Amino acid sequence: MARFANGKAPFLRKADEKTYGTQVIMRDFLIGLLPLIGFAWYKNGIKVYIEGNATFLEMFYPIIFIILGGIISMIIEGLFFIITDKEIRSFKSLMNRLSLSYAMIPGILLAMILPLYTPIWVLIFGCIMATLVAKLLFGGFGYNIFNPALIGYAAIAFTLMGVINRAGGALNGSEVLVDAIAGATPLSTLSTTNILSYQTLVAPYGSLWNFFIGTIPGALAETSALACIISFVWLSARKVIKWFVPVIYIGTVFILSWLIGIISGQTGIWFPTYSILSGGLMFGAIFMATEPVTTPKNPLGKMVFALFLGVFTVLFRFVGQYPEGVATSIIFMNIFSMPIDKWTGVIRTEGVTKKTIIKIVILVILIIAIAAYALFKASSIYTATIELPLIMRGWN
Amino acid sequence: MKVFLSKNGLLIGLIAIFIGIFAIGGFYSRYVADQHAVLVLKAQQEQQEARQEATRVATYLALFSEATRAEKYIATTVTKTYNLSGNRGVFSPAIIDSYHIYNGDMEVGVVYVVGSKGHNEGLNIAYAIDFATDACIGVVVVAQAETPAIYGTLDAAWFNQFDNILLDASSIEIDAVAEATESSKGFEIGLLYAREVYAVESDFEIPANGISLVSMTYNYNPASFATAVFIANVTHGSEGITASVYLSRTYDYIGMADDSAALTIDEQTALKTLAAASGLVSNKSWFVSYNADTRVLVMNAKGFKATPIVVTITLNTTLDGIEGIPIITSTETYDNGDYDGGPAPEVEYNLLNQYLADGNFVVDGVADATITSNAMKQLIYLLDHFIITLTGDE
Repeated sequence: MARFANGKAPFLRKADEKTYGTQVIMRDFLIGLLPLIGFAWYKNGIKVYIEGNATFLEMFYPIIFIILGGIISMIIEGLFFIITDKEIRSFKSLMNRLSLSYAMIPGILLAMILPLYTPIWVLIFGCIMATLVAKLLFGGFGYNIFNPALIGYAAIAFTLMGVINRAGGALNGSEVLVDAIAGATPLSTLSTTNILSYQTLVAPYGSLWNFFIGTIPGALAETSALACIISFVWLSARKVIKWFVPVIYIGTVFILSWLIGIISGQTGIWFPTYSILSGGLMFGAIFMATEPVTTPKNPLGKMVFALFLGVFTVLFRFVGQYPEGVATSIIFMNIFSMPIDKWTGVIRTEGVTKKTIIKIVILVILIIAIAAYALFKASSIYTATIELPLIMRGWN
Repeated sequence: MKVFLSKNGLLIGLIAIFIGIFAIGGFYSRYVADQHAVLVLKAQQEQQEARQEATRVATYLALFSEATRAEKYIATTVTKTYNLSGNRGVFSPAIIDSYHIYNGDMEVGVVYVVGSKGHNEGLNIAYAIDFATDACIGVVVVAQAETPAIYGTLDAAWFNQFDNILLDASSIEIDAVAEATESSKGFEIGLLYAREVYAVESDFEIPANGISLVSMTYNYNPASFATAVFIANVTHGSEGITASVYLSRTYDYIGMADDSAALTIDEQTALKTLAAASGLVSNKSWFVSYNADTRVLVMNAKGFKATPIVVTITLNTTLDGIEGIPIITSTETYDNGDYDGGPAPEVEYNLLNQYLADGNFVVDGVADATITSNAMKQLIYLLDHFIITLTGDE
C-alpha cells in the first residue's frame, strides 16, 4: 500500500534543506577523508623525513599525490564536459558542473588506495579509467554501476602493478630498512607463507597496536584503523553513511577469519583482529561499501550487501591468489546491488510472507554456502604450525 | 584568434594543465622513485651484511661447547711483527673483529678475527679462545685471497690441529702443508698474534720459554756449514747461561757450537720459533761444500724456482779471490714476466760479475728478476764473508 504525505503543499525534501543534500554529504565525506589523508602524509612523508630516510622533496609526495588524484579527475571530467556539452564554454559554468558531479572524489579515493610509489602517469591512467570509464560513460554521477575509484584501482592492479613495484611499491623509506618486514605487507606475508602464526604475520610489524595505529606497510592511506574509525564516527554522526554497513562487513570478516583460524589450528583472537586491521578492509567498509550510488538504497539491502561483502572478501582474500579481496568483492557486489535492492525492498515492505520467503531462503543459502566454501577451501591452504629455520653452520 | 580562444581556450587550458601534471609529475615521481631505489639498495646491502654477520657469529658460537651469544667489541691494539715464510719479509697482523662469547651472562671465551698474510694479504682468520682452558679451540676462515690450488691443499684434517692448541705452551708451531707453506705460516702468524692480544686483554701470560736469542750469524766453518747453517747466540736456563747453538737452514736445533750443555727439548723448540721470527739472518743462500785441496766451493741459492741455483767457485791459491769463471747451474725463469733479458743464468752471472769486478759484495739487483737477485745478493754476501774468514782479513 502506497504511502502519501499529509498536510499542505509545497513539500520540502530533506535533501533540499541547507544543512543537508548531496553537496553537504560530499563535503562531509571529504572531511571524513581528512584523518586518513593527514595520517598518510605523516606516516609516509613527515615521519620518514624526520627519520632521515626521505629528502625534503620526497616528504611532500604523499600529499601531492592525493591532491593530484583529485585534480586529475576534475580535469578529465572537465574535458569530457567541454567536449560533450556545448553549453559549457566558460570556466564558471564548468566549475558549476564539476561541483555538482563531485569530480575530485574518485581521484582522491583512488590515490589513497594506491601504493606510495605509484608514478603519476599510472595515477593518470587510473583516474581515466575511474572517471571516464566507470563514471562518465555510465552517465555520470548517480548513474554509475561500479565504484569508480575501485575500477581505476582494478585497472591498475591488472596492468601496471609491476610498474609500481619497480618504482618502489608500498613500503616507505623507513619500512624498507626494516629487515624483518622483508619488503612485504602483512597480507602479502599471509598470502606467500600460508602460515597462521603471530610470529610470521604480526611480529615482523611490531604488534597489533601498530596495525591499529597504522604504522604498518600498505597502501598510501588505508593502513590506519584508528583514522578509519575517527572517519567512521564522523560520517555516521553526520548521517553520510549507515553505521551498520561497515560494522556488518567488518564483523563478518572477523567471524569468518576467526573460524578459519580455528579450523587451521589457530584459535587466538589475534588472528581475526589481524585480519580486519590488515589491508584495505576498514577503508573499503567505510568509504566504498557505503557509497550511495553503487550500493543498495534500503537499509535491509545494505545489510545483505554488507554480509555478502564480508563473505566474498574472506573468499577472495583467503582462497584467491591475491592478498587483498576488498576491492574485488565490492566491485563484484556492485553488480548485484540492484537485484539485492529489489528483493530486500520487497522483503522489507511485505515482511516474511509466502511470497518473500523464497527470496529470504535463497539469500541465506547463498551467504551460508559461499561462507562454507570459503572456510572449507581455506582450511586446506593454511596451517598454524611454523617450521623452524635451519641454523647455518658455516659459509664459504 | 580571440574567437578561437573564447571557443577553445578552456579546452586548451585544461589540456595544458593535464600535460603539465603529466610532465612535472613524471619528473617528480621519477625523482622519488630514484631516491627510494638508492635507499633500497643501501638497505639491501645493510641487510645482507647483517645476515652475513649473523651467520659468522653463529659459526663462532658453534666452536664453543656452550655459548649462547656473542658481543662485538673493539680489541686492544697490539703491534707485533712476524717473519713471513720464504724470506718474504715481515708482516704485522691486525685485529679485524673481536667478540666476547657468552653462555648466558657468563663470558666463556673470545674470538679474534686476525688479518694475516699467507701467500697474499687478506687472509682473515677467526681464532676462538676458550677462557677455561686458555686454548685455541678452533678457527674459521673469514676471507682469503690465496692461490686456490695451493690453498685447497689445506684440508679438514689440517684445520683440525687448531681444535685444541694450548696457548700456555712454551712454543706454538703449526704443522705446515708442504704445498702451502706460506698459507700455513699465515695461520701460525695469526694464532701467535691472537695469543698476544689475548695476553694483553686477559690475565693470561705468555709463558717465558727460558731462552733468549741474543744474536745470530752464519756458520763459515767448512767442516759444519753444510748442515749447521746458522750459529745462534743465546742465554738460557734459570742462571742465564750464554751459549752458541748450531741451527739448520730451517732453524732446527743441530747441536751446541761451544762446550756448554745441550739445550732442553723445550728450549730447542722455543729457539726455533725465536730464530725464525727474528729476521736476523736469511736462509735464501747457504754453503754446500768446500774442498780445501781443490779450493772448490759449492753454494746454493733459493731463487724463484724450487730447485736452488748451484754456484761452483774455485778460489785462487792465496784464498783471497776467485780463479777462473764460476760455474752456475740454474733453472730460474725469473719472477716477473716483464723480464726481457736472456735466459738463466744471465741474472746470476750479472750479479756475480759485479762482485768479481770490484770485490764489493753490495751489488745491484736486476730489474724484473727480484727474487733471483735477492737470492744471489745473499749468496755473494756469504761468499765474500767466507773469503774474509779464510784469509782472516776484515
